[in-house]
Amino acid sequence: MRFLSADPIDPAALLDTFTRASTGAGAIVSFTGVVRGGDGVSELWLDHHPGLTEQGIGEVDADARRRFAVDDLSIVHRIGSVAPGEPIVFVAAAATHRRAAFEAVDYAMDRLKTDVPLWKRETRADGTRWIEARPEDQADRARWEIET
Amino acid sequence: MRLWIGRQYPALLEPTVRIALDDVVTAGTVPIADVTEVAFLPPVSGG
Repeated sequence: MRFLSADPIDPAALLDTFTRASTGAGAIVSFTGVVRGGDGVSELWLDHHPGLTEQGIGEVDADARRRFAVDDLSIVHRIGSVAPGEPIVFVAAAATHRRAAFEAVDYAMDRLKTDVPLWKRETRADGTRWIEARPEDQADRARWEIET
Repeated sequence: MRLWIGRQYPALLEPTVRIALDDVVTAGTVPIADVTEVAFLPPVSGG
């Protein structure tokens, strides 16, 4: 399961659906990214490129499945206007053993932050600005030794 | 083309700027003789 959503996503419901479908798994790991509250951001706008963004998420999904022994993987990403406290991304992996599931989710998140055509614009009291992946995000990605 | 871009718009050759040819993100050296659209994607920030 992977898709972009212009509407709010419900990580609990997504995880429940994913877990029910992963009948043979011995480990299920999920990650939910949330727009931070309390640091002055009033809105996060998620822009995307119809076609290229879905293609990018598909590549992350396929690469994660190829690299790790996972039975299933789910990637759901918000687009559009997201408020502080709202989920922005949900990633889950099911595997026979926990290590593969942890690593697949970690890997998918690093790739989503640095490779997939998605762009964040935050709004604060003093205006708006586009956000780039941080050096830490690039360093996290480099752990996987991915060719560009 | 890379040489021309490097002279005219060096920021477009930053490693965080991706290039898509006919709606396919590419890397490295690729023939563009039959390409109809070259797009430069600004640094991404998903997740």
